[in-house]
Amino acid sequence: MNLIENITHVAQTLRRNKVRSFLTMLGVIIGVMSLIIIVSVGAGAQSLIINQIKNIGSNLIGVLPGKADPDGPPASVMGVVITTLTNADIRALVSPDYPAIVAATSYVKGVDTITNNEQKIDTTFTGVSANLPEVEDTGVAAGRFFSAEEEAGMARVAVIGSEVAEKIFSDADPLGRKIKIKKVNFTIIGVMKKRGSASFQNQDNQIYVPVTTAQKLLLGIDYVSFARLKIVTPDQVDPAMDYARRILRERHRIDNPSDDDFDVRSMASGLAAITAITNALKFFLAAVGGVALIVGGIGIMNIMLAAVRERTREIGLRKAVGAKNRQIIEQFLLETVMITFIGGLLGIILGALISFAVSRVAIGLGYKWDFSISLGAIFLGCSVSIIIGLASGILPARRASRLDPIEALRYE
Amino acid sequence: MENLIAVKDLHKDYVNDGVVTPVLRALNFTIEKGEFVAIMGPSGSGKSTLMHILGFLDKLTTGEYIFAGSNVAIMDDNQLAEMRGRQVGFIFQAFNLLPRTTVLDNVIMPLIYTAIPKAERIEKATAALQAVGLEHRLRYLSNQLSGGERQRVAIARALVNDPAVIFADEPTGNLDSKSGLQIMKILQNLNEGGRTIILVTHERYTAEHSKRILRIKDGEIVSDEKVEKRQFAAEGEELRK
Repeated sequence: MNLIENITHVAQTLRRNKVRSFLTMLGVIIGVMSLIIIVSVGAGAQSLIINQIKNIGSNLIGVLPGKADPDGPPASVMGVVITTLTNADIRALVSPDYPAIVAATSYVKGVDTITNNEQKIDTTFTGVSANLPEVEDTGVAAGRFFSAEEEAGMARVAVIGSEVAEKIFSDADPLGRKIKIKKVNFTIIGVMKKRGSASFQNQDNQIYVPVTTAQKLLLGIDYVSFARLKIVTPDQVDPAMDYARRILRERHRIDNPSDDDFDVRSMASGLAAITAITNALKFFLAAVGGVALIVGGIGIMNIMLAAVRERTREIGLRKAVGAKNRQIIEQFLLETVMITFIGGLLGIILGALISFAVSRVAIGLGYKWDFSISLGAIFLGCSVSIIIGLASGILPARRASRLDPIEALRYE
Repeated sequence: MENLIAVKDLHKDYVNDGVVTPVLRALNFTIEKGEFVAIMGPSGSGKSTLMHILGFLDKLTTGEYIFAGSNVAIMDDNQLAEMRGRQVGFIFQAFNLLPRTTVLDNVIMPLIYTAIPKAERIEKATAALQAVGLEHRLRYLSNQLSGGERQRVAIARALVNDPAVIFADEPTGNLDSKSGLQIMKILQNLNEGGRTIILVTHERYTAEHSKRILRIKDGEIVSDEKVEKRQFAAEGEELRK
């Protein structure tokens, strides 16, 4: 009997026990399916995170207050308020002596109910420097952004995101209208271009005011919570980081780098950290899928052992009509491998469908999500299912082949 | 006539937990090609064990078993499997058909372990089923048949590889007398056609359908006689028990 005939023969046997064959497959289906989903959704999520960061720009440097820990998150993320970084520090980094840093902006944030005469919305306002459009590579859709003079003079002007404009003013032209933030009147001088989401923040839901105005009039602080520096080209990022550290140490009178009270980070290092985290997550989820496959494999072995017992007479008969031990092993091993292989194929199809659905949902929610099923994942799914078939089938198959035909024929 | 089977001083012992139980003792006989021999004896006499050894399903402990000139005692498992596939066909009391499998597939089964091409296998299986009068049941599932029909399928399966000997172990034991008679008639017809048949039974009347009876008791042959008044299973007659 050649392989193809063998396969059709085994397929007949499996068809005779449809429900049992399917239940036997279920472990492999679930295991391979989770493996495919993990690999595909993991890659999609990674692409989402990387796209979010790339939307901000890869030639940017972030400056954060607080001691640097290269492997951990910035101190400010933990909710610690650190007051050591000032707007003057950031302004000092942009100088004709070091043209690689072309622009810089500070950020401070606050939350308030923003009102005009008719509408109220709860949102965040952000105090930024006048050259935010240059740093973040954006601009206004209508009106203008505030100037350096307005920033220096603590002008009460605001530039709003397109969504805020829609929410507060509906169809009316917001330019020249007033809004109240913390009981202070601001004149709207511009509306930002639509930008979508970046760094997991909706960029269209922002209200920008001059950083000095935000510090003195709205928040009563003299520090900034974050700053971004724009570097002329990505290859200048590393030297610019060294330069920024040196200037900040001079200004803060720090001799020993381990005493730094600030943290200078590039997007690249942020990307590397996030890639490391998502890779670890993928590995963890793949391990969960692997455990599901092992459990499935043990289940199959168990069922095949029971099948050998149940089919003892059949095995005895096959031996009586001339089947050799090797042929019995082949038959049972092929049965297990076919069960796991078909289960693997079904798992791949289901996993791909679910991953596709996840990507549709993510895209529907406005995220940039790349859907992909890698050939590697499919190959892995197929080969893992075959290996599980072989591993879980060999013991039952050997047991079947070693049955004494006389005993087997007498078996009740 | 030439000797198909020659047994010399055959012994078979079963060893269980170190206790040796002799089952067959010093058996000597020959069976020629074309004979119809009944091995007869009460249960526990060793007749089934003898059939298993003659049918290459079991190994003898000491002695000699020559089948068509080959020494079976020195064969390994694979060679014995080869002999079972080519030289013998079995008919069992309990039919031993594959459930939920078509009649045709049941009969083809011995051939799937040979190199015979698929089309020829179907041809041979159909011919074997014709020989037992079941050519109209090819696509039936084995569990849709009556007991007598099932045993006829089992005979077709035993015939399909054109074996030198057919071993029938209590072939009428699970059948009503009419069906049992049909089976005996088929076996007699096959023997008339030149096929060697070895029948194992504990019933004298069934044994009398053969041409020669080897009586076995406590593992020894107590008589080896030609059947003087042979029974012929004619149409319409009921098999007495």
